[in-house]
Amino acid sequence: MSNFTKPGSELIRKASEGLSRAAREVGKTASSAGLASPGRTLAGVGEAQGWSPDALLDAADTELVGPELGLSSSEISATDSDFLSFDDFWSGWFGECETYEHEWDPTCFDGVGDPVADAGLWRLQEGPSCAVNAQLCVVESLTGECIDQDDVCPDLEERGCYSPWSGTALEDMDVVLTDHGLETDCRSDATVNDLAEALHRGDGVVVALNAQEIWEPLRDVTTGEVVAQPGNYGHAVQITGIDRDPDGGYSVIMNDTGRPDGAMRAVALEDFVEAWGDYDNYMVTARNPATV
Amino acid sequence: MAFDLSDLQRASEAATARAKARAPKTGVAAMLAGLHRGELGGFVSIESVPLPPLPVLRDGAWTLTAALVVPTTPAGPEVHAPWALVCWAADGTVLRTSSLDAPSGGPFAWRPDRAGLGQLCRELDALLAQGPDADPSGLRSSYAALLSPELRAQLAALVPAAAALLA
Repeated sequence: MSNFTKPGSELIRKASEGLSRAAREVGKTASSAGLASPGRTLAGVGEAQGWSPDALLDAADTELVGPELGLSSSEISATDSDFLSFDDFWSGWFGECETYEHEWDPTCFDGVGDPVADAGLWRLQEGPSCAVNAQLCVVESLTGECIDQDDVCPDLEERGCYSPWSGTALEDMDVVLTDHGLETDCRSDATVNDLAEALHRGDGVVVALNAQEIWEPLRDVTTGEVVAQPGNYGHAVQITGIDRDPDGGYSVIMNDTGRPDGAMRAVALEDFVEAWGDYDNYMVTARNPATV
Repeated sequence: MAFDLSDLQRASEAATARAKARAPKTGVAAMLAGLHRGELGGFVSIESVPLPPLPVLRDGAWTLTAALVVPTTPAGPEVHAPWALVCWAADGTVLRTSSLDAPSGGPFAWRPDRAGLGQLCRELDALLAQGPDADPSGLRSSYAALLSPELRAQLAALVPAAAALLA
């Protein structure tokens, strides 16, 4: 397989562009932050939402809890200080374990894909729009067209392909790509080699995965083995590269629009596989027919 | 370092085998882990997070109902009001999914307490194993630790049969 890395000056320029964009996006998000809890009452919320408890639950137990259930955030009893530290609690559960920080050096990249150049595509998402933004990264990569989520989300919402309340369905994970003239292939049960081959062809790649496993991967301190975590924290990212590590392992590199440090973020292969498996190894690849 | 696809394949297949060995095969943890796979994957949005599932006795058998929420910001401290419910039988069979088309209220304070959720999964496994005569009231403290009063009230309105656990 050939080496896709660019000459040094180009690498530095692209990385610089990515970091500049990251700084702009973080600032923009900070200025628009401040979601306040409205503390609305919940009376009849089931009916208001079209949800019929009778349809699912025993009819004898369908009495709603009361007319005035709006509670202020000051009534929340479980504060940070009430929780055991993460490592303390987890140690009592699975034995000694700790969060794992994966290291990867982009200046030594010699793998497949072009994660340094693609770092310039990264943007920080607003709301549950990871799938939209991962696709927009690919659109920019393959067409050169830089599009903001605000330019596409209203239309996607109107077409039922995105919701600020629920995000994006798996089956709609290529809608933004096809809307912009790209050919896509969506499949479950893909392999890491499928990712590598797609990157090798120059295709754009988006995957769905469990963010818990890549944001805070856990390791057993005795064995070094990955510790599987309960729960499921859904996410979508653009895959930009796969690289061999000096220790013989592999890094999967991605643009993660859910994190301020998500440009060119590297995850150990073990953690990526753990996270991706929770979504049946779902992968979307995209190519620009105009350049094939 | 040269990039060797065959070596990558060996490494990824070995990692996949280890991940499958680690994955919960049965019980409540397996239900939650499978939320985005198979048929449920076609219903559940990518960004959805299941709130702690609630036990409801129905037709003489325990079922579990989980509300699905989406964080207002990734890994942020708040979630939107639930947008859907998923109901499982004790054996993990999906009994029903329901969309709540117009979520109201919120955002609600919430953070994914993985250790607490793991503990609750084990407690629910024990409850399901005991059968319909089991008393779930001991779970109340677990829900209180995992969910804010606001979110518990929201869930109680959505799943009234479990309201006593959320009081």
